[in-house]
Amino acid sequence: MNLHLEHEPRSFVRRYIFSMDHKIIGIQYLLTAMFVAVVASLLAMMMRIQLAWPESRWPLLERILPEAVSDGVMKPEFYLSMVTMHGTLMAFFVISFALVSGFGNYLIPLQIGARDMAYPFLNMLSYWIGLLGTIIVLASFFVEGGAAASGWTAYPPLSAVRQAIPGSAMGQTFWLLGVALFIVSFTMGGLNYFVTVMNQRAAGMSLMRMPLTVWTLLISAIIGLLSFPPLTAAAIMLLLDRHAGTSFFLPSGLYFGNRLLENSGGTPLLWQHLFWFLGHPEVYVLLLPALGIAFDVLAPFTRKPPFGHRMTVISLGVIAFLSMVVWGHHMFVSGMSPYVGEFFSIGTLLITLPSAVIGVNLVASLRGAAIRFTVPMLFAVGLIALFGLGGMGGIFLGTATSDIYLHDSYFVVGHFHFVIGGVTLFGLFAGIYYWFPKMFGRMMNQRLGKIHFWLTIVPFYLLFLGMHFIGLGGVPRHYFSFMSYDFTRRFQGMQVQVTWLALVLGVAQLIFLFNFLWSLRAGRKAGLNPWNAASLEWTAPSPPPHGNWGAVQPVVHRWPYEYSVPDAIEDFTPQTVPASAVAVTR
Amino acid sequence: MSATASVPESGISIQAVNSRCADVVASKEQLTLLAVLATVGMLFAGFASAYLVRREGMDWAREQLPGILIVNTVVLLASSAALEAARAAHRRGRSRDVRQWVAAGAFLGLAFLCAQFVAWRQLAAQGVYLRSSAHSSFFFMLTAVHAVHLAGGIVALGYLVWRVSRFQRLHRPDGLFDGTVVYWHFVDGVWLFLYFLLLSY
Repeated sequence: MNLHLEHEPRSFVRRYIFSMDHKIIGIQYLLTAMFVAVVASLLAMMMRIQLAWPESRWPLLERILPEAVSDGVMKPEFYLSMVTMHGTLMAFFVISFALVSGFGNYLIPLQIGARDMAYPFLNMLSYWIGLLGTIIVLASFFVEGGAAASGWTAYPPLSAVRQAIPGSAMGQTFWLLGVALFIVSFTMGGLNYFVTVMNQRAAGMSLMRMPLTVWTLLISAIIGLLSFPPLTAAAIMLLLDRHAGTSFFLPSGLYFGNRLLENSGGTPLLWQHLFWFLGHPEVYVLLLPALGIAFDVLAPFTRKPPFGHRMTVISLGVIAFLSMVVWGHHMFVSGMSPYVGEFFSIGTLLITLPSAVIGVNLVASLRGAAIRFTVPMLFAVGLIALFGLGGMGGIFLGTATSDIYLHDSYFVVGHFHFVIGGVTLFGLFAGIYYWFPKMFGRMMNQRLGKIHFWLTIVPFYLLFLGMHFIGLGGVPRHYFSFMSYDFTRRFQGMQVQVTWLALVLGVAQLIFLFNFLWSLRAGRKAGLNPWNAASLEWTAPSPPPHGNWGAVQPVVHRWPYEYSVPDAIEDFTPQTVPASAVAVTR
Repeated sequence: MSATASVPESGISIQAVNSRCADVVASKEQLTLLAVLATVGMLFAGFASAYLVRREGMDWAREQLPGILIVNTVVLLASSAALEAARAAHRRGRSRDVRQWVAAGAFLGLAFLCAQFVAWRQLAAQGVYLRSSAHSSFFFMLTAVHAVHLAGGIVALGYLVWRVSRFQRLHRPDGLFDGTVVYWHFVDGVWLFLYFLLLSY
C-alpha cells in the first residue's frame, strides 16, 4: 500500500527541490516551462522584428552573441537558428512540459484520488533529466557555430552533415542530446501517467468517472509512449551519420565546400518518415490535454455537465488512433507516390470527424448555460474559437492538392500556431488560472486576468490570421528577409502589422507573469473550493498536503460533472458525496 | 473496493486508510511491463522499418555475418529456458532452485553479450566496421541497441538473485520476477527477429 504520510520529508531540499511529491514536481515543470517560454517568446519577437525591418541593427545581440550579427545586422544563419530553437523549445520544453508533465503530474493523482504517482522516484528522475535536456538545448546558443538551424524537424542533410552550415556543427549535436534527454524524461513520465491512471484510482473512480483532463492525459501518455521510440531510433541513426560516418540518411554525391562526401545510398526521406511518425502524434499529445482542460473548466462556469461526455471520450480515442497513421501529410511535396498521398489525405480528413464532434461538444456545452465569465472561462471559450478556425485551416493542408500550393508557406505557420500554439496556450492559461488556487492556496487577480485575456486573444487571432493571408499570397516560411522578391515585398506592409501584433502579444504576457508572481504572495486567500466545482481535487485542502488526502483516501460515488441536478442540496455535488445524501446521476 | 489500514512504523498516530477502485484489473507491475514492452517494441519497429527502407538503396550489399551468431542464439534461447525453469521452481516454492536458475539465466545472458562482442571482433578482423556498408552499420547498431536492452534485463536478474539470497524467497506472486522473465523472453524474441532481418535479403 502506498503509505506516504509518515514519510513526509522535512528538509527544504527534499521537500521543494529533489522532491518526489507529484504536486511539487508538477509545479517545477510549470515554472521551468514558464522560464523557457520567456526565452522562446523573445526569439519569436526577434524573428518578427527582423522580418518587418530586415535592416534592423542589433547592438545588444551583438554583445551577447557576436557570431549572430555581422556589421550590426542579423545573419541569415542566426535567423534559422532562432526559427529552429523557437519551435523546439515551444513544442518540447514549454507546451509538453507545462501541459503534459506539469498538469499531468499535478492533476492526475488529485483528480483520481491517489496519494501520489505510481513511481514517485521515477517521477523525480523524469523532471531532473528533463531539466538537464533543457539546459543543454539552451546552452547550444553559446557553442561554436551557434544553435541548431535545421528546423525543429532536423531534416538531413542539413542536420546530418556537420560542415553544412554553422548550426550543423556542435549546435545540432547539443540539440540531439537535449531532445534525447527530453524523450527519456517524457517516456518516464508517460509510463507513470499510464500506470497511475490505470492502477491507482480511488475506490469508486471508474474510468468513466474520471474528469476529461485525466482522459486526455492518459491518451496523450499512450500515444507518446508509442510514437517517441521510432524518433529515438532515428536520432541514434542521425548521430551515427554525423559522428561515425554511416550513411543512413545521406545520399551519394553530396558536395560541401568543394569536397565530395564519402556517403552513399542513404535517403533523407527516411528521416522524414521516422520524424513525422512521432511529429504528428506529438501534435495530439500536446493538443488533447488542452481540450480536456477546456471541458473541465467549462463545467463549473456553465454549471452543467459537458455535452456529449461519452462521445467525447470515444472521439478522443479515435483521434489517438488516426493520429498515428497520417504522418505522411507533412510530406506531400517531399516525393511520395500519389496513391500513398491519397491514403494520407483521406486519413487526415477522417480526423475532422472526431475533431468536429469534440468541437461541437465544446460549443454545445455552452448552450443554455448560466455562464460565469471568470478568467479561466474566458480562456476556455477563446480556446474553442481557436480550435474551430485552426481546424478549418487543417482541411486545406490535409488535402494533398491544396497542400502542394500552401506547403512551406506562411499559411502553414498561421495554421499550426492556431492549433498547436493557440489551443495549447489558451488551455494552459485556462488551467493555470483555474487551478492556481489549488496549487498555492490563493486566487489570481481577476481584473488583471481579464486584461491579460483580451490583450492575448485579439493580437493572437489577428496575428496568425494575418499569416494565413500572407501564406495564401505565396510567401514562403523560413526566409530571413522578404525584400529580394517582388511577390514577397508586396506583403511587407502586412509583415509589419503582424510584427506589431506579435510585440503586443509578447508584452501582454508580462501582465500574466506579474499577476502570477504577485498573487503567490498577495492574492486573496482561496478556500477549499473557490469555484464550487464538483471534481475530486476540490475536496482536498488548498494547497493539498503531502499524501493529498490526510488520513483517509476519498471514496468516489459519482462522476465529476454533477451540476444543477434538480432536488440536490446545492447546484453542485462533489464526487465524494454518497448516494444516500444526493441521488447519483452517473 | 478494498480498504486496508496500517499503522506506520515511526509510531506517529496517523492511520492511513487507502482504497482502490474495483475496476482496476492489472497490477502496477503488469501495467509497467505492458508499457515497457510497447515502448521497446516500437523502438525496434522503428529500426526495422528503417532497415526495410534502406535496403532498397542502390548500394545495398550484405556482409557475411560471423558463424558464431548461431551459437549466441542458442545460448540466448537457453537463458530463456533457464528462466522458465526458475518460474517453475517459484511456482513450487523452491527458493534455492529459483536462485540457481535465475543466476544461470543471467550468466547465459552475460555469455551472450560476450559472444556478441566476439562476433564484432571477428567482423572487424575481416575489415568490416560500422561505416563499411549500410548492412554493417545496421548490424553494429542493432546488436548494440539490443545488447543495451539485454543488459537492463541482466541487472534486473542480478537484483532478483540478490533478493532471493537476502530474504531467502520471492513474493508470491512476485511482480518484478514475473515481469523480468516476460521482458527477457521479449528481448530474446527481438534478437531472433533482428537476426532473421539481418540474414534476409
